[in-house]
Amino acid sequence: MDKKRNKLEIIHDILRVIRDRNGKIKPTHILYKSNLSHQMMTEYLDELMAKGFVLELKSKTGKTYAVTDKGQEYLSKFSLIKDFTTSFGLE
Amino acid sequence: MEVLYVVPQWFFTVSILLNVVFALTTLFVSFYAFKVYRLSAQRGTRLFGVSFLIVAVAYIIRAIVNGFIAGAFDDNTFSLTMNSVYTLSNLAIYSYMVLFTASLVTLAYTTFKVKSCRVYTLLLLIVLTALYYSCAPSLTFYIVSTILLLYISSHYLNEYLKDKNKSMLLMMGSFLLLLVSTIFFMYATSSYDYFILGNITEFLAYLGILTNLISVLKHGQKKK
Repeated sequence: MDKKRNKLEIIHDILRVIRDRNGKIKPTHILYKSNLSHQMMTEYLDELMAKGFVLELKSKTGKTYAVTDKGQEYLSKFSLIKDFTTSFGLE
Repeated sequence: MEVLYVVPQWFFTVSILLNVVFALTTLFVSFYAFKVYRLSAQRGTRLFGVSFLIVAVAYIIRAIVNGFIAGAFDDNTFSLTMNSVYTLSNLAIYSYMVLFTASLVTLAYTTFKVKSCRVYTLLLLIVLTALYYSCAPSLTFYIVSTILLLYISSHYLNEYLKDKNKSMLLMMGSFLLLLVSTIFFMYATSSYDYFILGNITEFLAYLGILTNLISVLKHGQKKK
């Protein structure tokens, strides 16, 4: 059985899922791909938007999400973030 | 007047240099903690950075004022009265005690993983009030520091027991060394050997923390 994901890994998974769909992903797809409950996903998306990692786009077909530059930076520097927080017991 | 520690003259300059080394090490850790905070926006890394920044400032103040005092004794042309020396020394020691304690409180609060400004300010106020109103501030400082360091070390022990991560073991060892150095400094009023031992163990503690940071950075470079 896989080890339980921590918060940083869940954020990483959500951002990667959104980035891989070129910012045109709907909440249902995020829910399916990130393996979270609806409530958890909503909480994470709200946090990611508040922190400026994700942008919510509204269109006629509904809501979609895109990764911002800050979110891209999180993805590219994820190993440093994870190593630092793990090595200093900040998870 | 309360005697804080007995320092051999030959070691005074070494201790100033060690303070500079401690300040640079803690600044380095703080810099990377803030860098990770900027990338991840995680509260824990910001608090960790703040705590290391505070302790860096404490060491900088102690190094500058001790350097000033050492200069006053060495240089015949510098006219600094003994009263000024005592005032400066007291200022350095009290600032160091307040900042070092605030740093440990911040770090202990970070390890609790509690998000409450009230809890943090309560901890800080209790500790600083105890220091301010104590008849023997240095003894209070050492006892409070020992308790806080014990809590921080136990956090790293728990983290190590969870997934046997070697970094946690290194961090636990480093904070236990800081705890041992605090106990040595507590006894440094009776013999200067304890002051020297305290500085050596403190140096080893920061060496452990620095090694941990360097291994994180090296691991990151390998991944690139």
